Amino acid sequence: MEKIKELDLPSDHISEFGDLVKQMHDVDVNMCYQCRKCTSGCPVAEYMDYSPTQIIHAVRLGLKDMVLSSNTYWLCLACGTCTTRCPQETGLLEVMDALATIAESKGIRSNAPEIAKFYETGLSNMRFFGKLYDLGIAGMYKLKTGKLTQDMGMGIKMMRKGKLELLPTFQNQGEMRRIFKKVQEVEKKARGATDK
Amino acid sequence: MKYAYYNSCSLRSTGREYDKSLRAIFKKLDIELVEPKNWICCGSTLAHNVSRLLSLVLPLQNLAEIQKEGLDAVVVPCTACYSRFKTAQYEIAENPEMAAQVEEVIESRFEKKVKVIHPLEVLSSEPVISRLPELVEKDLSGLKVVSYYGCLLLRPPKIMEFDICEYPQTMDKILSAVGIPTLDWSHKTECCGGSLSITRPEIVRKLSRDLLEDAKAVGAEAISVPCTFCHLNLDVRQEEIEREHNVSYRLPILYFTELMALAMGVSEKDLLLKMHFVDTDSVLQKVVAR
Repeated sequence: MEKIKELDLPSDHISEFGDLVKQMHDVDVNMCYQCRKCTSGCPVAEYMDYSPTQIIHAVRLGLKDMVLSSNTYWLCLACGTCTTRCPQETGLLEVMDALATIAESKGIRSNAPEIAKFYETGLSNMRFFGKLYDLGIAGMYKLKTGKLTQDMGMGIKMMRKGKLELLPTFQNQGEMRRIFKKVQEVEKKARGATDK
Repeated sequence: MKYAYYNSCSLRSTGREYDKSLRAIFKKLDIELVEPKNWICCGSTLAHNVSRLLSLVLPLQNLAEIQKEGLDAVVVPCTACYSRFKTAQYEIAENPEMAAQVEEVIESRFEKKVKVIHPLEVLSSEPVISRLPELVEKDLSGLKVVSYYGCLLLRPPKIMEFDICEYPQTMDKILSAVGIPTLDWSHKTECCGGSLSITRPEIVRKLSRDLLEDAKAVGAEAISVPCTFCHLNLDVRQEEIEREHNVSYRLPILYFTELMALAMGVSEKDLLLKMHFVDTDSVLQKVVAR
């Protein structure tokens, strides 16, 4: 595992990267004093290449490439244990969301491409149907990742048991599509305002 | 009593048992549930990874619809939806700039906050909880159950404001009110792996196995859950976990509403127990006449 570089920083330092995260999700990574409570409670820390504590420090130091190429924020279950126990109320949940959003917008997929593909598949399904059509998501995800046989037996049994809708139904899909479009417009406008 | 009922995506597919049993007990309690006509998906565990604004708009659009229909409180059984609804309300209260962006998208304003309630909160509050013992028709006191709360319902506590987040008792109190004793255990609030179920099943099997191990170790004969993700991981994947680790748990995973319905005399054929992967016969054998 690569060591995080020691840098000589003034006490009020916040990197440009840290600033971006703050702008996006109102979370100040400078609040973290590296007590590691977040990592101790994280159920998936052992699967991450950098622990939540390391990631927040790296964001603070502005080590953008290291952070974005890690699998940490993709694996985050959003279970909230870190944020609940943080003595500084830093808000790692929001940091993880901000990192996933930045990676998604830049098309960064390294380290956990299947999870990124799952998000995309799920969201386009949601946009199209107005609600989640599970069988459609599973099928599309399998096609996109090539994992055709994974969970196949389970899926067939779920269908037999009536746990999956065989044919999709729509739910207020026109409104859903309007919302997706409008969100993009409003986000673009907001980005333009902060750039000026 | 009358509430809006956000009967979301998962309660219409993988979690139909939850919807069915919940309706049965609310009917017995004379609590009316009204489905908003123009609901849409709340964004679930997906939207917050790609767009903060989208993750706020989707739940709030639903609340705006509920407000239009003249209701001031909504019952939200799916814990992912419940978490998204509460997070969205919290965030726009804290951040006026985000609130303005949300209102621009949904083209309506929030005059009054629609109250977001989990069925566990309805059932544990007065006067409902005091009425539960008189509605009991069957004796389930021979069944040993652990209450599993998971993560989404509880954390982070400043947003969710649900019970004591590290040691909740709500479900235990309700089950005990209908005569079902619950055991203490240490995995009440651990995460089952939820959103990684499809993408990283090996991680989910590890986390869910830890839960099943602890439940078995304290002598549980069933696990009571409030969440469709937990149900999926613990019930549907249980056989896989047993095969992978060469163990046998055979632990039925029931929604707390299913256990309550059985105690309140709802007939087995009016529930959807056949949809479960782990056979529930061992639970049904413990349902005896009073």
